[in-house]
Amino acid sequence: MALNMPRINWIEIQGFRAFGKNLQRVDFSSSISVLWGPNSQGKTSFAEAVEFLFTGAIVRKELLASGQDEFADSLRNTYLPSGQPVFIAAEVLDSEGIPHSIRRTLASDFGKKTNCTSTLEIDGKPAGADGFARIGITLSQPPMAVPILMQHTLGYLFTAKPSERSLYFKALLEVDDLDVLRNTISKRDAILQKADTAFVKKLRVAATIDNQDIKNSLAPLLQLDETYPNVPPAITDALDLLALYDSFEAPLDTASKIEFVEQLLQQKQAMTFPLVQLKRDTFVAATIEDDDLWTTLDNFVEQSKKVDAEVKQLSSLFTEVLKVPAVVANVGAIDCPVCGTEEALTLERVQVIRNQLETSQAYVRAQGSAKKSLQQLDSEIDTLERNVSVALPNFRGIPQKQRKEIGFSTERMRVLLPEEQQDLIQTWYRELRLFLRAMKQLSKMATAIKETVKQDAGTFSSAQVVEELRALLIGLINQQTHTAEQEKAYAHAEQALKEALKSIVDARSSTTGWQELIDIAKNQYALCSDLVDLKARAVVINELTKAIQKIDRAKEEVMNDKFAGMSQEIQDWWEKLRPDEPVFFSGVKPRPQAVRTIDFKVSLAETSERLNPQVRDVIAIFSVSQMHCLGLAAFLARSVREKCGFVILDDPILSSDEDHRTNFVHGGLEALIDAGFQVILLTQDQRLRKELGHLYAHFDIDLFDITMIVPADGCEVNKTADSISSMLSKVKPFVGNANLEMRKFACEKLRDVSERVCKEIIVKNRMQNGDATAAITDYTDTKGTLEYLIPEAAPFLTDKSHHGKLKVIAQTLNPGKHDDTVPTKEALRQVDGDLRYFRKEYRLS
Amino acid sequence: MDAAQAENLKLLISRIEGGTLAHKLVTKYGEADGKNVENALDSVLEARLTEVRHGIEHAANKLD
Repeated sequence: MALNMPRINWIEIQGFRAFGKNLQRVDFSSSISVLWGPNSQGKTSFAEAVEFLFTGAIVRKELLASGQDEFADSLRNTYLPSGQPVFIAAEVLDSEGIPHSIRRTLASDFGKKTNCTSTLEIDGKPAGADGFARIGITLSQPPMAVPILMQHTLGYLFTAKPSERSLYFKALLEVDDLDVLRNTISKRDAILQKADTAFVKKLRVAATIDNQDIKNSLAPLLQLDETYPNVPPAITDALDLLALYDSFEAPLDTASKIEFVEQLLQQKQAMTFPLVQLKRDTFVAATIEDDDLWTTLDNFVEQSKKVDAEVKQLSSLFTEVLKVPAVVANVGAIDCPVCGTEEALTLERVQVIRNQLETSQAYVRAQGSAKKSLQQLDSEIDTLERNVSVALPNFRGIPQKQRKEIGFSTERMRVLLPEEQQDLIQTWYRELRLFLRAMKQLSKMATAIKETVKQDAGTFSSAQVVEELRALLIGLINQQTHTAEQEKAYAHAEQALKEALKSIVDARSSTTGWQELIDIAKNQYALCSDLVDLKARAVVINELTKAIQKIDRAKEEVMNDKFAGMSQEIQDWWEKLRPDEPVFFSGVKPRPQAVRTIDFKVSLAETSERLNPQVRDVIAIFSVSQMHCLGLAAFLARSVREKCGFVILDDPILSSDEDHRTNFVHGGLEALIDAGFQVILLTQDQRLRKELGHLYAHFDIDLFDITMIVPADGCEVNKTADSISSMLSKVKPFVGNANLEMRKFACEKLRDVSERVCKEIIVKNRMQNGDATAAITDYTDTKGTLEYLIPEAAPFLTDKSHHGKLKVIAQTLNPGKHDDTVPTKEALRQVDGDLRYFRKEYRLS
Repeated sequence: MDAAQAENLKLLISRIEGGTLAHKLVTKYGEADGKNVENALDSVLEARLTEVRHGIEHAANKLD
């Protein structure tokens, strides 16, 4: 038995579908187990219990239910007393051979409109859907996530929609990841599809100017096949054509052409509405680097405190005194070079002057830095005032009376705009007032700072003045932030109003696209750059599309290769199940150019030599029996590929299909067991059970009966191979065998029967003597050997010769057990006969 | 990336001509191994975009 695949050690079921209140436990000790039972005795319930254990659902509902309510209350046994839980538990060996306990308890059954719910515990701890993966058990792609083949899942592949069938096989071939890769790459084209830049948008509008020559000049630029040196001449031509509307001679250089057309546009627009009066620059806040400023000012205040006022005034005089050669030479007391007092400058006095001067020089340096910082601040405030000035709309520089004369008024706006756009005026006006108020306040604060700075830098030696300036600057910075926010709100309202007005003005003045042409003419380099980018993106998007096509082709080739492998595996199973037939399964493959469609192919030949077969679709050709066989072959190929470890087969062969059944029993099951699989087969076919019992006796096949005598009690599962009768019939073919290995095997089995005989005699008598707890399982390990059991059984033997017979049996079977001489055929026949006698005499199982 | 995915990727790459955009994208996808795949793919496309842009500009300059 290969231990690198999971297998089931035992299963316990209570209250699930046909299973009732009495817990049923099934121990699997062999590689192959058969659960036999007539129809409607609980076989499918057993298979579905295993399915439910692993998935928390049953696939039958998914595949067969036509309405949601059909499966309502179908999982809990109808007769189960309320309060008794419904659960399935199992011990599963993982691929490392480590046992894990699994238990799933039904929390709520399927409702009329609700799904069932359950709780899962693995190794005694609550587990989620990923619990099995964590213990190394990988479930397959739904709907058939667990390797259980039932009648309703057998036909799934043929009844499923082509796309579902395709998904099933892709998952089976583990090529889903290639679809993910392909889709991830193809989605990147959205990143390349960048929206038009502002200048490209303007070019598109400029190309709609109502003049065919201008259209002819600009439109080719948008085709992206123009070379970019064509941009400037195309724009110049367009400007010339506009300029010539109103003049016989356009200016020569581009800047003048732009200016000329701009003026022309304003004149034309002004006849409807002077849009230019709304024009302004965006407000730019001044950058006030306050950290350095405060450091220098604070330093200046500090130094100023150290130097007294007189020294401040005399510092330049002291500087000159210290330059006198006699002072520099340090010769001793000399006459004062300023007032002439004799020997007034002693060495000590010179030293005092030097100290004073040194202090005052630090003061002078700090003063210089402070002045420089203040000049810098002054300059920044100048910049701010300019920014404020240019950020105001043009009409702010014109007296109100003049505004009316040129037609700039809200009344005029109201006349021009349609009813549904009247709100734009109100919004704009409200935001304008807030914006102007903020700008006014900012200007006021800037002026206050400038006036403070204008004062003599010397006055900043007072810490109080510095603090006042600091407070003003903090106020200014806050106001700048507030103003920037107000400007943003105003710009939004202004933009909406301008667009509405521009649309009407352009229509009335026949100037649509003029402003856009002027804008791109002023920014030709940026437009060229944007057009290059646009073209480059179009090229790369095209390349990406081709790359995706290449990836698709490569993916299809990989899938075809893998399908060929898979196809071969299914075909191999098919050949095991239906060899040498003239009609045979010949492949499963994706339909060319339609990767979402999977075809099953059948070959039709005239004879079993299969020469020159005709290829057709399976669906149209195969009989029900052949379809069943193909479904089984696909299921087995999948199970082996996915290394499921165990398979549960619920009557996989039609009882009427004799040839198929023989091939399955001989070739199919043996191949599965050879591949290391644990096979659990459920059948109603007595003959099949018998055949398997004989055929796989050497595997110690587990044979169970599954029956339901009283529906209210639910079904029962009993191991039939445990009975002495069953054990003896299993060993019979080996007893008279000429082959030593076969007889050695028979010897081991007869020893098991002998032990069982003794155990049953002892237990039966213990029970007759009132020991209700007596059980076969009391005699295991050293207590389970003949050496222990025969003396224990002796008091209960009914004939004196029986003790001797048992001792001879033990003696005969002992060498075989210890790998020495194997008993003869005759000796084994004698033991077999004696054991059959004991069974009959003592009425054993 | 598990063994099956690595095998699939290897098979896929082997069937795409080396040096093409498809080859670069698939190779980069594999190198990213599920982490920041979008960024990795974008870096390939950005590099190609820059290359094409320079090509267009170069051609334009030649015509100047």
